[in-house]
Amino acid sequence: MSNIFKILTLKCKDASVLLTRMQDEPLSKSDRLALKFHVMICKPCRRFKKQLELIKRVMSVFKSNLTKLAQLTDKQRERIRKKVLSKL
Amino acid sequence: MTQLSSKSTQDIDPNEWIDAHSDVLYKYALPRVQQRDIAEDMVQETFLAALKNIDSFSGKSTIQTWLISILRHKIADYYRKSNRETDENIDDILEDFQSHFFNKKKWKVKLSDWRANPEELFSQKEFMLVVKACLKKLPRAIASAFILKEMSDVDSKEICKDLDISESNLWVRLHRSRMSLRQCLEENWFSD
Repeated sequence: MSNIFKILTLKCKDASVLLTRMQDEPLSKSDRLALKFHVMICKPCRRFKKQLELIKRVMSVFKSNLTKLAQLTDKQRERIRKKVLSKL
Repeated sequence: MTQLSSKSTQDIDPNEWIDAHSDVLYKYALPRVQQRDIAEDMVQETFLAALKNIDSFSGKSTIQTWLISILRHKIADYYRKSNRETDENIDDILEDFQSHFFNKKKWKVKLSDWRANPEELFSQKEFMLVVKACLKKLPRAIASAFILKEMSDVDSKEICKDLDISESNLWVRLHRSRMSLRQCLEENWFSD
């Protein structure tokens, strides 16, 4: 019964929390069901879900770009060397 | 490797260490702190801490793994300093935050259709600059959790430990970060 109740009463406000949580960990079965139903009938939440997926992807691109670009310049390395040696 | 653990600071050539490991450390730090000067400071502090505490190197791992674990703690310290929100009022914080986006039941902000081909979108320099600017706009106290989550491969429990926060606090921070980032992208890129 409580599952059905959850499905019928889930508000966008709470759906949004579940949708962001879903990005990082699996939801409980009842949350998953309630959310699935809510997203089916709610256009803004459907959009929000898609937007979160895009954000996830852009962050992973951002990460790989930053890792590729993360190259110490000789100047930076010498600055590190100088500071380390002076403080030892 | 075990021989190294008995070495004292005098036996180590800091120059050799810096030449051998600074690139790897910097590559680790930059995505996690997002700023070149901060990443550089972190690398420098890591070398310093390692060289001063060489006796605590157990020799069970490689020097590089050991250096990275020191760096990880330095990054956690850096973020913990900006962490002012306690765990106790986390539900109120969430409730208050949500009220900017929702009426009692429904969304009150605009969610447009982000009709985009991701590959095409991500190859646009301007878009990536907007993402960067939006990330920068997030309050650091909440963004730290999000950045660590998205930029490293450690799991949630580790992040909670590093930031010294509860799991529910972490979820709220991740939620706020994603909501704010979404809002910023909506306003600055997807809205006509």
